[in-house]
This record gives sequence, structure tokens and C-alpha cells, in this order.
Amino acid sequence: MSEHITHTAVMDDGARLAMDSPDICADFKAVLRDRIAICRYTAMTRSGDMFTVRLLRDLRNHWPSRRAGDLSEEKLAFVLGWRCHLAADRTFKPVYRQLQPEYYLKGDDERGGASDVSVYHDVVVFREVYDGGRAEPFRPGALDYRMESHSAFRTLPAGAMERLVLAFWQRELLRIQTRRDAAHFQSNRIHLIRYAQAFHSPDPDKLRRYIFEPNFYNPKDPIIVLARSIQRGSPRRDIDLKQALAAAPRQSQYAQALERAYEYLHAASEYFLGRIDERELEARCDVGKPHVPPELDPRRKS
Amino acid sequence: MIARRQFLQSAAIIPAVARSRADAATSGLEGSLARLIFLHDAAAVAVHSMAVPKPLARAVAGEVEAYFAGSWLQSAGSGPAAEMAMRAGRAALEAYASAEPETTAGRLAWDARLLRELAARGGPARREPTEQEIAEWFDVLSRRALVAIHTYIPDEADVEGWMVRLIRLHNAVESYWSGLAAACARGRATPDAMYDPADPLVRAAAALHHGPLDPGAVAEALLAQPRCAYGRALKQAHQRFLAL
Repeated sequence: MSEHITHTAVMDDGARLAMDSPDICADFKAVLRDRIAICRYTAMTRSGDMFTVRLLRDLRNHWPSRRAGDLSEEKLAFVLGWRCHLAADRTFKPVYRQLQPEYYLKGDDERGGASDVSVYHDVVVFREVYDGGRAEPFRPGALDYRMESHSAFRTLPAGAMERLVLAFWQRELLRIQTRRDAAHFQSNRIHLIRYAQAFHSPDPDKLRRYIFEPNFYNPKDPIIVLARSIQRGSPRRDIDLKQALAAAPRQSQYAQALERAYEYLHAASEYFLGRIDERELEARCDVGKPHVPPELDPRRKS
Repeated sequence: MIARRQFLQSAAIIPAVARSRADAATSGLEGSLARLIFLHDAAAVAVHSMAVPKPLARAVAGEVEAYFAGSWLQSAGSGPAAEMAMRAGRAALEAYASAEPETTAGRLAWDARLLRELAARGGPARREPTEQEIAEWFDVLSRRALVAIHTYIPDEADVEGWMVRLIRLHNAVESYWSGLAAACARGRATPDAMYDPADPLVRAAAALHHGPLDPGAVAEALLAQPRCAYGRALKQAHQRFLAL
């Protein structure tokens, strides 16, 4: 499946809310501010429930004796990004299965790629959160057919380089595995033409079914308004974070994902400060709970 | 997803050599792009050569991912065509080794040179891209690649080591793209013993990426005397394909 842009945005906005909150510890805020690039790419890492709590425990124990260059801050950034990945998964995986179950008959993508609903989510987030590629970490051209809106389009080879840079990442991500087999090879899951079509020429019916009717993203939801205002550098002080978080579960799907991301970061911060134990951390982070309710998971249906 | 018990079992049996090999992987990115450009050219020749057996040509054309990753994949795992493509990728890089500069700086300059040669194949540009534009270009290409492969598969057998390696990899890639952009902006080299766009096989490979070519013309290029190390390596890669 894909959803790369949505995962990145939930991480970015979760970090914005956390950094603006008085309830998140200073070490977390420093890492979210200084190591956000790491948080962003670990927000695209699967299997987080299996590892993040143990890694956070090790980091908490090691933190007082950390030394410059031992990558402690980077590792904490990694774990926080990884937890935010789960916030997006727990919100959107059921949505994908409700709206396009045919893609998930075996509990995962079966039709050889991402579902339309996940592509449309990403494209809407790209437009709303990343201003169509004008906000970090994205750039203009990211969702073009062949990067034609990039200023160097007519001077550099797009088609061949697309293939070669993809192969570069596939090779390097395989090299850092201890088992370099097919199970650890990062296959190309989606042709970006689908993204370009959805971004440049969206299908009105798909927008209706996947975005508007299910209320995927509402820019007027207070939690989203607050995140966007922090992004612009002028946080809305008339919006109370706690009230916005409390209202989010009844608002758009993206607002629900932000509420979940903030809650995971908040619980992790409380654990890091020793205010809650591991059992409570796991409960607040939904560790061990299935991402998809049994009624939407064909593998668990009787 | 593997169960927690399976994870603990697999973590206990991870060979030290596999971990140290993976740890070493985040250094030495210089030369990576040139290798891929070469693989791309060698595949074009293989697919359009009348001498290469059809099953191999079809495997290289159809199992592109296994072909490009061949030198690192232990097994392609998805059938005989993928295994064949993987072996072809390995064979091509063995042929290429003699054309690769020995020093890190030399490999980076070689990456830049081949990138510029690749760009020049599309015809003369109206202007030269700036260093910043080239760096941004790689950034956008990387982001698109990450969209296409989402999500990262963690190394369940060594998750902490993998976490460190992924952090180092991203740092190394950023530095590599930036060094490559700077080297590329320094200007284009003239044809020499390393690379000559007029080399018959180099010219044929370049043309093949822009449309079909008379198979006789490919055969003729394969018979011609190479004019540069890159052309010689392409010819050797073709010979290795015939021996697979």
C-alpha cells in the first residue's frame, strides 16, 4: 500500500501540536524540532507496535548517560516518528477497507498496488498540508507526471532518472538488511501516474466517495486550524489544544488521526518522564490492538 | 508481521557476518548512480540483442527490480525469471568493475559525468541546471521513490542495528546527492578513454532508450571495436549474458 504523504503529514502535524503543547517534555520537543527529518522518514516504517515500546524503554534508561554522537536524539526521533505511523494506520486502515474492500481481501493490498482511496487521501493532504509541494519536505513536481513543474525539467533526464533513483533506494534499503532476500526487498507498489492523475485531473466521483462524503479532511476542524496556524508561524491562541483534541474524534478523519498522533506522543512523553508505567503506555498507544476491526478484516471473518 | 516469539528467535541466530556486512552498507555511496546507469544501458543492449536468448532478454525486461538489485539480493524468490534477472544484474556489474574509478572522489566525478551524459542524450539543453536545481531534483526523485515503495520494512532480526543504519543511510544519501550536484555543476567532460558518446555500443544503448532500433544495428555495434572503457564494459556485459 502507499499513503506515504498522509503518514508524513500526520507526523508533521502531530509534532507541531506536541511542540506547541505545555504537556510534552522538553527532550521530545527538542527532538521534534531538530530531528524532524528523521521523524518524517520513520513515519513510513511498518511493524511499530512490535518494537517502539521496548526501544523507548531502552532510550529512557540510557538518556541520562547519553553522549554526543551516540545517536540518542536520532533514535528518539526514530521512535516518535514510528509511533505516529501507527496513529495514521489505526485511523485510515479501517477507512480504506470500508471504502474499497476489494483491495484488501487478504488483509493487505491484493490488486497489486494502492487503493484509489489511499491515493486520493495522499493527494488531498499534499494540497492541503503541503501547499501542493511548496511546503517542506515536499517540492513542486513531486506529484507531476514527469516532474514537469520542476525548474530543471528541460535540462535533466526525468524518465530514466526516476527508474534509477528508485532502484538506488531499493538497493540501499536492501543493503542495510541482515537478510537480503525477497521478503526484505522494497518493491515498487504504485505507478506515480495514478498520483499525477489524481492531483492534476481528479475524478469528481472519487473525490465525492473518498474525500467529501466520508469527511476525510475539514480545514475548519479546530485541531487542523491550529496545526496549520503553527505551520504558518502564527499559532492561533484562541484555540485551546485540549478542547480541540476532545472534539477531534467526532470530526474529520484527518482530525481523528491528529488526535491519535498527539495522544501517542503525549503518552510516550509521560512514560519518558516516569509518570506512567509501561502497561499504561501500551494501553494509551493501543499496543497490541488490531489496526482493523474484525468485521473489516476478511482473515478474521467467520 | 512476525510474532514476538519468532522475532526473539530470529534475533538470536543472526550471524555476526550479516550484521557487520549490513553495518558497512551505509558508507561508499559514491559510484552508485554510475553503476545504475551502466545497468540500464546493459539491459537495453541485452533486451534488443538477437544473440541473447529470449528467456533471458524477457527476464531482464520484465523483472527490472531483481535485475537492478541483483548484486545485493541473496534470492529473488518470485520465480525463475526473477532469479535469471538477478544473475544478469550481477554479471553486468562484474563486467563493469574494470571501468569504475578506484577512488571515492573519482567515483563521485564519474557519477556526475555519466549523469551529464545521460542528460545530453536527450539533445542539447537550452541552459545548464544549477547546483541547487540538481540537488532539488534528486530530493524530488527520492521523495517520489519513497512514495512508490511505502512502507519501510524493518529488519526484525536486528531492529536496533537497522534503526542506526537507516539513520546513517539517510545522512549519507543527503551528502551524496549534494556532492553529486556540486560535481555535476562543474561542467561536462570531453570524450576520452573512459567515456565516449560516439562509441558504437554506447551510441546504440543511448538510442535504445529513446525508441526501437534495427536489431542489425545493435548486432553491428556489438561487433565494432569499443572506443572507451564504458563501451568495452558494455560489450563484456553482453558476453557474460550469453554465458548465463
